[in-house]
Amino acid sequence: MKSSEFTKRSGQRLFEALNKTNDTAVSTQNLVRIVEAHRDNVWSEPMNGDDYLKNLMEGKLQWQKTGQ
Amino acid sequence: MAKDRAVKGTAQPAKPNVMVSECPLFQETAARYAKPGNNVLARYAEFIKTKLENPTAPFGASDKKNPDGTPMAQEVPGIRHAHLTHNISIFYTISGANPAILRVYAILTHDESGSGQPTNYKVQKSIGKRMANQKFPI
Repeated sequence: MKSSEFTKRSGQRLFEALNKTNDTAVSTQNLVRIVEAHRDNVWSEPMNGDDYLKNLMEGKLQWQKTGQ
Repeated sequence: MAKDRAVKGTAQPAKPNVMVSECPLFQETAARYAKPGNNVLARYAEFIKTKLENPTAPFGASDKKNPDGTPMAQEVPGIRHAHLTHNISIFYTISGANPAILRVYAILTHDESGSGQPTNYKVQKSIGKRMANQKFPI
């Protein structure tokens, strides 16, 4: 099966496809959320890794300041 | 000449250039689980340090890629997951080389019961088998 056929899956079909091979220990519903996040393709501006780590340790990342 | 050799002998490999990017799902789940001072936050910081030193180095023995050809790998090519704690995992991808882009997708708890909706049949089956094998005093 081509990957394009998988990407067309949604809803219950997507869930069932992921559930068959889910060995991640997290729920399949959460895997569906990851797939949806990937499809949404919304990403923060890439940050230099050292700066990211520094901000993380100082609690300055956006989600640390706002709770999300 | 001898000085040149000494310099060459102590030369350190160039530090990898790694950039980090978050999606909204990561921000939501990280805010929920990686709280100030808790172990998840500390382990996430260790995870980032590991990836900054070598983006392709696994973060412990649990760090693995979804097998090629599985629906998850086809939906999100290169997706990997690693345990941060015994019941919390991180999902991420690494792409490119210079810079390498570390995309963090989510920090999630392990679904112990699989009893949420929709049902996780695999987890329920495993738990059912464990329960069936239990012996109770009469």
